[in-house]
Amino acid sequence: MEDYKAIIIGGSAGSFQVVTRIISSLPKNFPLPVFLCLHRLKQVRSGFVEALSIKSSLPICEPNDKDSIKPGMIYLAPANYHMYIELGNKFSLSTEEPVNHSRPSIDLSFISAAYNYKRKLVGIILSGANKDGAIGLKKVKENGGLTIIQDPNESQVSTMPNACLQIMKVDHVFTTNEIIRFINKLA
Amino acid sequence: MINDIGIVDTKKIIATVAETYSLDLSNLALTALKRRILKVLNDYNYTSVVDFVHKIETDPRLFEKYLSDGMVDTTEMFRDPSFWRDLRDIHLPELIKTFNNIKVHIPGISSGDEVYSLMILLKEAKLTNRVSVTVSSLSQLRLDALKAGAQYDFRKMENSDANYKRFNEAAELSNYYKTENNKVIMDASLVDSVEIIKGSYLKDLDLSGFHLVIYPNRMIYFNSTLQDKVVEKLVDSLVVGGLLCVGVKENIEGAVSAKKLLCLNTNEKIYKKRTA
Repeated sequence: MEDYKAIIIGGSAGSFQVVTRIISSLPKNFPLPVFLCLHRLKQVRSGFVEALSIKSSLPICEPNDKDSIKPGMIYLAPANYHMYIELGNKFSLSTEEPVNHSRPSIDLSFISAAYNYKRKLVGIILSGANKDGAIGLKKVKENGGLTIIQDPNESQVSTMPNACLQIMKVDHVFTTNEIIRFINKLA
Repeated sequence: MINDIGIVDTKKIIATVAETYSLDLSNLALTALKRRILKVLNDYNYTSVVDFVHKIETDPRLFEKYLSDGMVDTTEMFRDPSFWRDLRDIHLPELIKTFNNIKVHIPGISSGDEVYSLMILLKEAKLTNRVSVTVSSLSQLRLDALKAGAQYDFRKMENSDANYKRFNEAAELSNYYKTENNKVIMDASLVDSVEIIKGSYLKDLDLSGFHLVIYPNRMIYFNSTLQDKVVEKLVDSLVVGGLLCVGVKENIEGAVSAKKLLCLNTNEKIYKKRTA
């Protein structure tokens, strides 16, 4: 199996349960950083990390600007900021205009991660009600990374995974269980 | 439309701007800088970076527009309402109690969101005569626009309106603006008393004696080297006991000058200068 360095997951409506199941399946010694870019309310800063943390054995945080990326951490894009992965293994945050009405934008996080990790990145798009993430996942593929979408038949809202299928050939269409099995093989 | 810009082209643009205008963009955070350049390239319908570089070299007036258009607009007033509430309810009253009259600086403004937010806060708290406000920007266009009454796309006012409600649930932000042809225009009389200065507070301006510097979400566009310098400059511009406010997801505690600061408010990232 390819020697992956990071996993990035994007999701919106209908993705919360799936994300919770995925991160709760990860073992304590999971060796990669996991980036979560999920659509969320702009004005509500607190509560999301706490909700995700309940079932996770890995620590979860919303990174500050310029924080270093550490393995075995789960990073959630903070409310009302775009989250970028910068060269030098650091985060940067941005208040640039929303993209697809979204800040954080899944596309922007994925594009920056694709640029920095190239073929060492696994990109996963889950259930969601708009097309944010499709262009980002395509960039992951163009940079040699591995691309996965949640099976549209299983997704609570299939617009987001379907938008990926419309513009690219994804490597895997997986159910939640298959995603979990795949990621755990990376440990 | 240009979809992507590589590191070679980015560096060429940085070098051209440095040579032509003595403006150093090399310490800006790379991903956001690339996105700003892409935005300008596409807003002005460029199809090649070579043409763009040539225009930068030969047309200073157009460059001034690019600079202004390339700046990040949060297009959102009262972003992080809890910050503005704490400023109004805790930190400003304490500053006024200590210093009586206070001087505030908002450096590096773009759309002026914080300026209008602050002036509304001061007006509502009846503190306008106790607080003098200075703003600075590299862009004369932005300063002029601020004085003319900041303009917003009507469809994008939703966030500002919602933020304001969380700041002051007893009133409406629309009390302070009028709507014309899908544009929202802020009441320019709010900023009548605001002193504007064109220039870089880092390079050209020697500013000091401030009691409050409001600078949220600007240093996120800088690399650590530049952030360090800026924090130093801003801390120097404060009186002992003065406050520096940055964005809620910024961490300046690694900066050299941060040792002169004490974090007063961890949620809202408000720091107090404790020593000269």
